Amino acid sequence: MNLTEKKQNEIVVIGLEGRLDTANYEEVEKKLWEMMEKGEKFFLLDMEKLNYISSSGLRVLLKSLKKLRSEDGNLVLAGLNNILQDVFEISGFSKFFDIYPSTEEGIKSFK
Amino acid sequence: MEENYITIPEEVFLLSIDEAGEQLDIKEFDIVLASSILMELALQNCIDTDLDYIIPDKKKSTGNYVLDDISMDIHDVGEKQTITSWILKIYSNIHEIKKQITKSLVRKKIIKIENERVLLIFSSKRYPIIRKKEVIEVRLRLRELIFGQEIPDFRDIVIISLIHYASLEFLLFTEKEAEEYKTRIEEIAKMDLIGQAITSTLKEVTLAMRAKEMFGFRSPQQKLDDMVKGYMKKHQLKKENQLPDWLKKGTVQYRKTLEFIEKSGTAEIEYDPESNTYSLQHKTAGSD
Repeated sequence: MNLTEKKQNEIVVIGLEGRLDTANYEEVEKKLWEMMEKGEKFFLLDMEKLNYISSSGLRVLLKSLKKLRSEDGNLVLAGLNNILQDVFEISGFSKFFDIYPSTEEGIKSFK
Repeated sequence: MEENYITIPEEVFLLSIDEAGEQLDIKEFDIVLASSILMELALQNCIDTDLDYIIPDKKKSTGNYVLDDISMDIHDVGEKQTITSWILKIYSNIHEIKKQITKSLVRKKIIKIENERVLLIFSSKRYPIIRKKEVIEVRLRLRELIFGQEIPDFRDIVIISLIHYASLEFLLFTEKEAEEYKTRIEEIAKMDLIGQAITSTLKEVTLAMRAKEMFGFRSPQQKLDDMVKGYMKKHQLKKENQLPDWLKKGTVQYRKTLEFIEKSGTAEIEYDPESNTYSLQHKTAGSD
């Protein structure tokens, strides 16, 4: 998994590439939680280059979302392909996450 | 795993026991129990799942015999297999698994066995306080979750999923509440991908059972039930409490009769109470 990170205004944009599954969900979790501990509250996950997510990946995202929202922060998702959109829809995770077609629209949502 | 940690399969098993210690007659309960084992393994990061498959994750001991045994099987296979196929594999050994779960709950002093009835040691509520760290009962917590808008924890998702897909909402909600919060229950239940597989697995098992019935196959319990009916007719007994222990439900000896039928594959058996042994009936030439 290729993980990129940049900051845009107050929003941490993390790019995920490849698969988010049993092999690397801990890496993503560690990144998110380290940044939360540093005081970061607003995250956007750029998933344009992500082609697979398993339940361990979904768990990491949900756990992070729950923590952030409890502290008036948020985690939004952007750029999901059709397959990932289906996963989020079928699993019902789409009810809890704000999902945007592009990173730009996701960034705007924080204003 | 903490010594007193109650696993999801153990919680599910406890759900199936009423306050009198009798196991509730919950349809397809064994499939739900099999599914709950996979759910616990997923929570423990021993397996991963996606919409269709179980994928081996970390090979580690959970400290629980049932979970470790099944985890080892999944890791021995090595590659991903469908959720339904693993539920069915676990289900095929569910009788032994239930024995192990019962032993574990006895060790943890949650239940005791008395005259073949399982008695909850803490039986004042149908859903006992299980985890030391929880301030409120699991039942109240789950109700609050459903009535509110909170993002659920994964353990709660798993339990709600099991309850929903096994149609056990009555254990937590009134009929009115279940109807009013139906959407919320469904939304949370579907978040567990193993739970979603329960419905399709139940259909497979039901079809297989119907096929077995059509072709004349009967389960050991069905064979024993038929044998008891035949015995009562032959000896002109009017009530089941007139039956000898080895044919009387609720006794230790009845359990042993069922086990013998399972092992031998036939209900054409005899029991000698003096030697406490079972044997196959001998038929001589020309007999019925």
